Amino acid sequence: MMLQPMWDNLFRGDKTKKTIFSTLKGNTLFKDLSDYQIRLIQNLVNIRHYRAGEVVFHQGEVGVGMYMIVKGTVDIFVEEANLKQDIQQNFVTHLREDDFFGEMALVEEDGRRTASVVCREDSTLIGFFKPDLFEIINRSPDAGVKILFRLSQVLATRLSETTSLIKTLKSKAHR
Amino acid sequence: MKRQRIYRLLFFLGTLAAIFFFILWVRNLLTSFVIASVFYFLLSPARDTLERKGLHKAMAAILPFTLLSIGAILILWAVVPPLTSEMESIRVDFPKYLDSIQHTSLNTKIYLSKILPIDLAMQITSSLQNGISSYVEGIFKNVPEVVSSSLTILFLAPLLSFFMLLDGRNIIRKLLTLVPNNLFELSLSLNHQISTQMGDFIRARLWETVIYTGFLWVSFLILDFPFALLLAVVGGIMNIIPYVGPIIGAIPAFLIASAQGLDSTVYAKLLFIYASAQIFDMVVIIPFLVAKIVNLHPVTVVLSVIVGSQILGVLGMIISLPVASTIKITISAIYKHLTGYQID
Repeated sequence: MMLQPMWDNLFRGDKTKKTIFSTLKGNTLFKDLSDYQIRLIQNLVNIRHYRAGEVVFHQGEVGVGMYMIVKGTVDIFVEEANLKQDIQQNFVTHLREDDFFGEMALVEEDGRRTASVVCREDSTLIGFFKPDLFEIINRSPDAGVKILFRLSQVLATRLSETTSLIKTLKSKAHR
Repeated sequence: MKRQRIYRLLFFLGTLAAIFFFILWVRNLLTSFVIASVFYFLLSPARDTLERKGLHKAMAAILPFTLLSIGAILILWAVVPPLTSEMESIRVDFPKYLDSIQHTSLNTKIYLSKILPIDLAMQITSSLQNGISSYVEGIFKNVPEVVSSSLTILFLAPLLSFFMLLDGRNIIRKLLTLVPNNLFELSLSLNHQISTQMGDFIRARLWETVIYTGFLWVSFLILDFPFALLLAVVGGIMNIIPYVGPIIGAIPAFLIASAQGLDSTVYAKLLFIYASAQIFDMVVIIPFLVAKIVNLHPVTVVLSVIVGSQILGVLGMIISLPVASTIKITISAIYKHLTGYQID
């Protein structure tokens, strides 16, 4: 429950179309971009298909980018060691169509994944990774700046949510 | 699911291996591919700039390629006639050079037999003579084969570089779709790191070669040494090979000086030119252009040059550093992917 602000989609829209173009256009990172720029990104991103139960990434792996869900549902787990040093998996939340996750890896240097993501059903994800972001910045700096600005907003929002949660927990602990 | 992942991985690795062996197997394809890569990394920044200006991706590829082709034709127009006449002159005088080598070797033998035991002097001079003769023969007797290969490469390399420029990104993207999901991020990141480093490395070495060749050419012209352009080009290209390259590149100039019976001050001047070029390369060019792009230990550099020469000869020596650097990036990325994290 503690990590939910890090993983919950605070930017979820109400779209029902599930094409790559509409998923990108509906994503908060790309919402300032023109249709032409979205099409440029559509040609750069990586469409990946996963089976139910397949792991998207493991906690602790080096991450290089984020995923957007076009179709399907994924579960987020955090692995923690208990007092007996046994590793246990704690369910954090599940994400569905139009949600996204892993965006911190877009800006981190050799950042490691802070949770594991497993597909609950057959899913189609769009992978948007650091090399793709660099290519956009290189080929269309205007689009790159807009994406980076939105990315900063997303990270700032998550930080602010996490900070307020920590404050709440601290005040509860003091009582 | 695990079996499917393994099949997918095997299919991806099999495709990579097939491409690799095809490039090695088809005659002249490897050299054409290396030259095409040089052109690709040279032109890709121009293509990106044109794309940023709003040009269609096909036009952004065609325009710099056309400009480079025109530039290359103009340079060849200016450089080929003097180079051909210099090579022709060397070919005509070839017996004279062999005589001169034999003469020098005889003098050396007489000199050594005065200061060393006769057996040892004979052994040293005969191995020296054999080494120099095979070196000279290797250079000049292979000329017809080199010319025929050059024509194939002259046709293949621009063609390959054009398609790399136009569709290279899509081809790599298509190839990466074959990678299983669990290795996709790692492969994509590796591809990005390797191509960025290759681009930086090739552009830096290309500038280094141009500046180094120019330095030698001007120095030879000032000295009024024969075959100035040819010797500068050979020296510049050989300089790409670490450590031994500059020595291999300097040998032809000393052989020509010896064959033409030039006096000993010319040898001193040649030594001064090559030493100055090396110092200029080490003090000015490398620190500003090449340093830190390929962060390899000197021992690794020497070993990779030896391995490269044994597998692919001179071409292997030239490409040994980028290949070693690619292997280093790959190993370090895989190691990082597999290790280095513990759950608290």
